[in-house]
Amino acid sequence: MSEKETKQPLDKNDIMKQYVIDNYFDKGHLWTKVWQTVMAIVFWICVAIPVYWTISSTLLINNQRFLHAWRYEEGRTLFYFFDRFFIIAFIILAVIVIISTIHNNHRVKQHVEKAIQYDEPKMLARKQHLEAFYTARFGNKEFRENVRSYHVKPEQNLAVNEIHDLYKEEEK
Amino acid sequence: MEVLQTLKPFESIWNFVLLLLVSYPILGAFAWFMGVICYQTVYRHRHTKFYELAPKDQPFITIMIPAHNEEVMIAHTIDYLMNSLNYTNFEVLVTDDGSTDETPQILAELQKKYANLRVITIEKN
Repeated sequence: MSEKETKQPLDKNDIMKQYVIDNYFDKGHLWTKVWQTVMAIVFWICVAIPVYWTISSTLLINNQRFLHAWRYEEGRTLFYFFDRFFIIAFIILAVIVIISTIHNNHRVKQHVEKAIQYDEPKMLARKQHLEAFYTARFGNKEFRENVRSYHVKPEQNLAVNEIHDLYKEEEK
Repeated sequence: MEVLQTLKPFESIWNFVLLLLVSYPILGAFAWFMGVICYQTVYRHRHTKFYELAPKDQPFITIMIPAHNEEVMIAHTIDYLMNSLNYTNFEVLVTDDGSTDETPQILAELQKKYANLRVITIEKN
């Protein structure tokens, strides 16, 4: 492990260059750049209009420099209700998420990194049952792992829940 | 709280259920957003550094590709995997799930070219 630690880590940007193609940020492709820019602007306007529609008629209702899209008392009531509801809900959610992350930190450090989190004897036993089952149906391990082309006959197909039932049968 | 008197969201369970029904996409999006922020800042076990492994240190891996009538894409996918990964100790295992098009023939051709391509043909799915 320590040998690997001393190696130079891979540079993310080099790897990205190898696998990611983006015509928008490459040289050339003028047409792509033009229409994607236009589309981005158009759809940002589609975001801005409803935001203005709402804000101008509620929070900025007393500001004469803005055009007010609508003036309904019920609308403002609804807005201020949701306003309060979302602020409270967001605070509660933020607290839950932060506590969960801290709990996860603790869990990884104290449990996941220290001990195996599954029932190992049971898993090994199951592996053996599965191995025996596959050998009976498809041939031995050596053959299965090296055959280059294998045809599964219809009668060899696994039934629904077959493995699950096998475990149940063996663990009775 | 006059708004609460007007809207009465907590008057009955059904009003509250209706409120959640309306707001859950926003609450869900916010929870997701907070989760990302926490993962970036509070979570301490992120993997941020990756190292290139020498071929002799690489564990053997199998890349499994399920395929059903994939004659259009299969050759491209396999050529990509065989030639463009920065990893050497692997095999590709294609499960041809009862294809009725040219997929089996394409795979047979590709097997002549690539030694580490294995094919399982499910005759009837």
